Amino acid sequence: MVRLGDNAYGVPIRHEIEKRTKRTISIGALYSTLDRLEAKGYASSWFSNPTAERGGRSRRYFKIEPPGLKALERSREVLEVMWKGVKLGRI
Amino acid sequence: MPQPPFAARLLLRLFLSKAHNESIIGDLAEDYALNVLPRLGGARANLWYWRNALSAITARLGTQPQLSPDKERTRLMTGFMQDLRYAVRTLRQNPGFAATAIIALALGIGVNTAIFTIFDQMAFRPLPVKDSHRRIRRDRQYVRSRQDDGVTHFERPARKSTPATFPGGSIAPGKQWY
Repeated sequence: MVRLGDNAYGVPIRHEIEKRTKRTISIGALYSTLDRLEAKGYASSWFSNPTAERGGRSRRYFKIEPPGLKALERSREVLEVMWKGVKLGRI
Repeated sequence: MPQPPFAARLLLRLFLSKAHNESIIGDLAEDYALNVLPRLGGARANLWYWRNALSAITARLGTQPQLSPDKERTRLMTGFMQDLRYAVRTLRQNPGFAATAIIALALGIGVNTAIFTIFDQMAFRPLPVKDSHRRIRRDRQYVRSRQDDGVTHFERPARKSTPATFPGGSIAPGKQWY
């Protein structure tokens, strides 16, 4: 969502995740996560005008909200702290 | 514009809320037409659509639809669906246990149903004959008597000359009873 900016709706969000993680994700799992983010106030969504390539249906665009940004920063800090000084040797 | 499989679209329309209908079916239609169909071809693209449709439906059934206004009903259904999905996952992980449980349940239900059906017909339902409420049952009664030869005999008593009576009327002597 942060990377895509104004173009963050289902299809590009999914492609972006699949491209970076190199694994497929189902659309059900994607929308479950997006709904949870919205319910927690981390993201918001709105519908665009219907388009022909979607069979006359609207796009649901998502935008990250300030609590979502804070949560992202906190998550990154925690990860960095946890990895600090860790060297993975051979097991 | 190429159309995804009709049955899959119908299932999505039936199972998804209006808001999810708009976003999920729209996303699938766009991805199908612009990316998946040119890359994979008809049959594999249809398979892709089916897989995604089913994943969307199962995910929607198992999670709380945030857009629903009736929160209490949603909470209850969410708990039930989570239990159901957990049960399905557990059964899939242990096929032997699943088969045993299913056979035990099938046998239990089948035997119970058979016994109840027989008992119901015998005890609760009227006899399948005309005026079944007027039927009476007559049992033969033998009287035990000791005679001079020292052997115990069983004798059938003589029919009474008075007519037998019962709530529905009477039967004259000599008339055949059933």
